Amino acid sequence: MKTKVLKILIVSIIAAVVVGGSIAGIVTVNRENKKEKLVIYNWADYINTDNLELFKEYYKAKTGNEISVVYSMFDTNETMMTEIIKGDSQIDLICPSEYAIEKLMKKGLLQKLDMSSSEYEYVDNVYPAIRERVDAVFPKDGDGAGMNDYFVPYMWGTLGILYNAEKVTEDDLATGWGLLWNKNGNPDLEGKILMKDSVRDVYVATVVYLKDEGLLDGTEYESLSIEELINTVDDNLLKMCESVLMEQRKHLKGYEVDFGKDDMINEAAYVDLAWSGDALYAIEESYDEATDSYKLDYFVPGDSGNIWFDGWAIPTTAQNVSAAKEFINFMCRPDVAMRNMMEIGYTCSYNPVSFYDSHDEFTQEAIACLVENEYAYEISAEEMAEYDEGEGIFYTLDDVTYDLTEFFSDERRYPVFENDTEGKLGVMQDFGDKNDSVVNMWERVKGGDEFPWQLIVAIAVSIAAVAGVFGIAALVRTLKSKRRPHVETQDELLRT
Amino acid sequence: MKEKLKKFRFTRKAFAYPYMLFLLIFVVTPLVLILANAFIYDGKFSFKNFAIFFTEKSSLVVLGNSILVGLLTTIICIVVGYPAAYFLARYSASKIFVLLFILPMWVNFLIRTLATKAIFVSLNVPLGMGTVVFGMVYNYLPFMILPLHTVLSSIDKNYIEAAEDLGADRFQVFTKTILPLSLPGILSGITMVFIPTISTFAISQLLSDSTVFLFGDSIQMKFDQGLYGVGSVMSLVMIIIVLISNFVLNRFSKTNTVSGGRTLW
Repeated sequence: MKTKVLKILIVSIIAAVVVGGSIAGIVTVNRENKKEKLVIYNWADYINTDNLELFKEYYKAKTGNEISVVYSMFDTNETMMTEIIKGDSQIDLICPSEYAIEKLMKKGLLQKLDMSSSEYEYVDNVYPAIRERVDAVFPKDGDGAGMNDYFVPYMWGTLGILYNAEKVTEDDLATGWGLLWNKNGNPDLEGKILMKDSVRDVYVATVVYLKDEGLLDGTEYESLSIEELINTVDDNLLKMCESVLMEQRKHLKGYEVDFGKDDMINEAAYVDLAWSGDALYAIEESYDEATDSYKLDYFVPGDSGNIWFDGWAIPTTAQNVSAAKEFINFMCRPDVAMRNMMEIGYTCSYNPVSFYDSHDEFTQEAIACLVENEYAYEISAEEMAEYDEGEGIFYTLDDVTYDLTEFFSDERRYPVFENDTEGKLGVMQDFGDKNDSVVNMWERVKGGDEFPWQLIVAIAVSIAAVAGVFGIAALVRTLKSKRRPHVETQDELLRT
Repeated sequence: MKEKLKKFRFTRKAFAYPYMLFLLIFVVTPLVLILANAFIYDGKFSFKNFAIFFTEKSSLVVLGNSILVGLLTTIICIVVGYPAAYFLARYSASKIFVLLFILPMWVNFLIRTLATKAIFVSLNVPLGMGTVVFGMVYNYLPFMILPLHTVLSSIDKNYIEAAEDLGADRFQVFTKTILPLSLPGILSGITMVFIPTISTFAISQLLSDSTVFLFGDSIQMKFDQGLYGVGSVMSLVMIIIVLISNFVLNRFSKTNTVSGGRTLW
């Protein structure tokens, strides 16, 4: 009887918990429904989170609605694309790279944005050069819609080499992309070179290296511009890449995924294939107070390689399109863009000229942010006079004039690509159906072609060691047992 | 009504249902998905994923290398773990030592591996195959010692005394009594070390700066790059290796186990 009571008690407790829980769930769901929700899917470490809070205020002020922001992150474009291609996601806004946007756009998974400047006042502040370049690279489809109709640029930059200026010599730098192969043979750099574990970036570095080394001379690839070259994927070129990448293995410290910046700052590595934003972040961290200098530096060898643009796009499955558009608009506000830039190190898509030509409230806030982060320097009238006419970038804030030249003319941050007639900084498109071959090539390189001698020897040695121990034990035993009868007979002799 | 209530018996079995449900959702369903994915290429049923995997020399080389690393790790774990488990089981003051062995297991393995890396870096040990094997042994040694310890400490001392009474010396006692009786422990230790080492990816990535590329890394890369079909085939290969080794080990332990031995795994 007692057990029966106990059972009933247990069942009723469980039932109470389950029912109570679901009621609570319904209540909270109801409460959330009154509030709007925006789901953002962005790269990891790619925003200043203060801006998310500010967006809620901005949205309340503009539309009168409360909004909650769900912010989730991905670490490769491929992860993000899978999520979107599945088609059942609740994501309102994504921020992938240009080739991923192209791929999603072609699959018909993105919405056309149609953001007029009368409604979205900041969108037009995007750097026109980026828009032009995108139009040039990704041709418009039949009805005149291009990729620019589907995305708003967010950050952009280059691929280059982050290096330790104390260890890497001028001669090393002169080898260009060859620095990643230690072409100059600097013994300090052996085993101190990091390659990014990202096949697209490796591919760019490798094909441009092949070109620079003259390994493409006499082949069909010789006459291609950089942009054409990095978008050429065929078996022959892949084979050439594979052989130089195999050869590179012995110079490398390894392939980094996300510890490259740290290893460079801690001097565990001296050379690293890096994106400009990561590089600028690492350079900032490498400041040495004792010598008042930066240990690290960044360069794009021969000013040739890859230029990339990441941008906001809205999937067709988005639930809250109007909030997503407001968010895009908000991200293009000068102070917001500047705060992001200061936080993550990448270059925002905001037109640099607008930063120092406008004097509205938000631009002033943006410049104040620069001042606060010590990228703008107070300058006197005499110092200003040292600049030639039209040279130098100045901004007057609260009656103090600041010199912004260093920040805005830093080519590591603002690479020049408008008049890039030779096509040296190329935009990279999707590998398309060649993707599998490239991944397989990369896998072969990462697996290496060394025969695992060490492993086989180590296994043999350990088996031999075990066998040896048992063998010796057995030997000792047989020796002992041979001696034993002899002892016994002696005993018997003594007894008799 | 009363009859019906009586028929529904709230037995102890019912407490296992939540976990059964968990198994169904998080173990059986993913396995079915892997199986399905392995046969889907370009949205159609096809064997192409298998063809891709088995004709690509590099994936097979990676698999071979991983099996070698797994073998080496397992052998080292047995060589180091068996004597340790033996002495832990024989001496009663060993509880503290057992605790010391289990203690690292309470620390998350990623943290442990990152710490190992930091130690190697500070000692200027070059990262490579050696450090990877060290990391594997360090991480999986407890999985070898624990089953061995359980089996060895549950061996009835009377067997040993009986063997000694019948004239066996210490070497014979070990080879003829203790070793066969502890075989189930060795076998479950092997399964718990060998299979996970083949599919590890974080240890090899962290402790060699990704220069050592194992089967687990390869699978991870396939899924990262959106090649789900081939990745699923590789996962299937892993599952088949698990099944084969389990089958072989079970056969082995059935034919060799002296009464009283039991399998833990």
